[in-house]
Amino acid sequence: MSSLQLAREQLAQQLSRHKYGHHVVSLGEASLHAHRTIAVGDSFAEVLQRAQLPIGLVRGRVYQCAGVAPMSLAVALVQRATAEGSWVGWCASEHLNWSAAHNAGWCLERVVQVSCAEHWCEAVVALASGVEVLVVNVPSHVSPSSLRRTLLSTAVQQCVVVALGPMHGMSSDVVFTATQRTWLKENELQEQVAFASQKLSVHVGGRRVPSEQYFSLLVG
Amino acid sequence: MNPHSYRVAIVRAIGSDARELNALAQGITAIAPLIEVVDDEHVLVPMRGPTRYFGGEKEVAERLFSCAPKNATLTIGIADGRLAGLIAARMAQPLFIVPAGETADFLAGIDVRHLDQFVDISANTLSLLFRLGLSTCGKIAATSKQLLADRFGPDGNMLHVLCAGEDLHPPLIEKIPTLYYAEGHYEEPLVQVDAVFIAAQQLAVPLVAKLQAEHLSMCRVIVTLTTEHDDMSERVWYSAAGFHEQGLLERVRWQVTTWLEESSGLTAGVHNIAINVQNTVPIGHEQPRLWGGRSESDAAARMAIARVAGVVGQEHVCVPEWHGGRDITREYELVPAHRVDLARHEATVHRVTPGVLRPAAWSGDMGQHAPMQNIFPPEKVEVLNHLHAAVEVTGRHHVRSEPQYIRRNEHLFLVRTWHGPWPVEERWWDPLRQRRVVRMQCLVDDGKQEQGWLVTLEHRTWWLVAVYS
Repeated sequence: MSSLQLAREQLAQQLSRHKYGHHVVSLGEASLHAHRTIAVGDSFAEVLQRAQLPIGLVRGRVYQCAGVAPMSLAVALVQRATAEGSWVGWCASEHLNWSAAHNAGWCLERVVQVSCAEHWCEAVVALASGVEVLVVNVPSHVSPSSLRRTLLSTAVQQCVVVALGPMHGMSSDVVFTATQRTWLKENELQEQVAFASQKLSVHVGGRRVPSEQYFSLLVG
Repeated sequence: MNPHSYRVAIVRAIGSDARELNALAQGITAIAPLIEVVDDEHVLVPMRGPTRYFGGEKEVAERLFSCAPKNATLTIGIADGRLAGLIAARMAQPLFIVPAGETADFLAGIDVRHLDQFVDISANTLSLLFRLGLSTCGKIAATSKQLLADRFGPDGNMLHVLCAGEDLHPPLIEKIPTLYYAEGHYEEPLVQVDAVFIAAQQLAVPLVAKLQAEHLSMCRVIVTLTTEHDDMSERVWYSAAGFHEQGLLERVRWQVTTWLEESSGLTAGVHNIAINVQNTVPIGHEQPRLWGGRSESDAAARMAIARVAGVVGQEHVCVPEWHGGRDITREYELVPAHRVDLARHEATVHRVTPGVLRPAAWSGDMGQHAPMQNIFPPEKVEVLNHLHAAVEVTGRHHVRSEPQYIRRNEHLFLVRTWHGPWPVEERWWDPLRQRRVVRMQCLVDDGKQEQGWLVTLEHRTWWLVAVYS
């Protein structure tokens, strides 16, 4: 019997002896913090399940967002994580529109942005020691060997890395690629028409994905 | 002379880096003890002792000028109180002395909208003060303190004190015996910055917790580091609002790093660290939450933020803060993380919560689908019609001709479809900050893929401000 199972049984016995113990019907499987995945939105959860992957972002893995709308994909991927208490570090050269992130459901009180080009690797490793999700864009001057060492450090620190755009030849665990975008409009009856949202056709691939998948994601 | 104010000199080192500022602080310490490094450009020197010793303020100023680092220019402002000193140092060429007792008159003419450069107060509060007719420090000082406190809370109280030429906390003349003290003695000397930082963290965290249990926050603290060979680094740190552990640790890191980088160098590791709290301020009561409040991950994130600030510099580690306005690319602004309180849950939530006056729908509203990527700084583009002439918008917000192309960096993009224009007129009441902008959504094609762009027209020039990435 593993130590986790033993601890679980002991806890169940203690609870059953408690005066309110009769309310305790069963206990869920215990798991270490490092083994718990970070929550994702329903669309992502469904496609990850179809792709026979753990439902959620697995700590230590690299997820890549690419295609016609990489930032929208990354924001949607990370939204549930910020809402459920995870800190997100933004270490990318692209300037995120924080209003758009707020509208997408991000809890901005748990977000930090690091602007650095020179010490990018050191900054990513330092930030990974305390935040659970890192959104990065690898600068062109970072060599593949430095990038490999950096990603190894983030993996050791159980940090999820979400990469925007290319990874300098390195393969990612899961790659979300927005292949096509359809614009949806609002206020059709009024004089002024505006883009209300986008519907993205997303391809899911990557070295950890046994069977490639497609799904649609509504953004906005 | 006001009995609540003390003469201070603010030394401003323009163009200095951390190492040079530390060298300047070391030089000034030989003239006056217990100086404060206010920020990365200013050093505060209490003047009472040095003035008597050297025979006058000008004589002290001459000695301060002699401490100037090689690559920095010094300006000095001498006045009663910190705020007047900071403003005088900004105006100095290179020395500006506000005569004793005349600080209130000196401050009376200062525009309140410039105060956010010197005082930790939001631009929105200052803008509101201006619109209420309290446009100068003199008008604020003449207003009842009770009225300001009722309307603006602690900020109003603070502004009244400062605008009257007084100080929230007078400068430290001598060390005060205190109940709040933490000291660590290390058998194995600490030779690396990170080791010193972690040791300081182990001292600071329980000390901050102890103060918090008594609803206090440290606002002035002396941090002393001693090596085995009795080399010593002592710094006074001050924050009017009070330090949280992260803010204090960032200052300790600065102190350690600059000390180790000194030209003389250290001959031994640090074997003693002491944190001596000199002044405290009461903190607002915060009800602990059953769910959704502070968590272990918040504490870990704060430590990571302090760590990464040591790697890339404090100004490069930022968090979003709600600023408001009608421009969807500027509703949130980035502020350095060390300038905000990340420890208090209420403060962090308040920082990013949209204001109550945020309109749900208005005539220039583009809807909730905001572009995901800001182009910063905005890129100048040309919006052209079918004749390759610039597209113009009338005063009634009608487009004179249909946009057909957009030229960006000498590359011509075909406009597939466009929506707008949506007008925005911001801060029409303020001649200095008012803006008139027209915005337009364009779907452009570069031959490979379609992109959604948000372009604006301001002062007859088109700008690409955001992309639906």
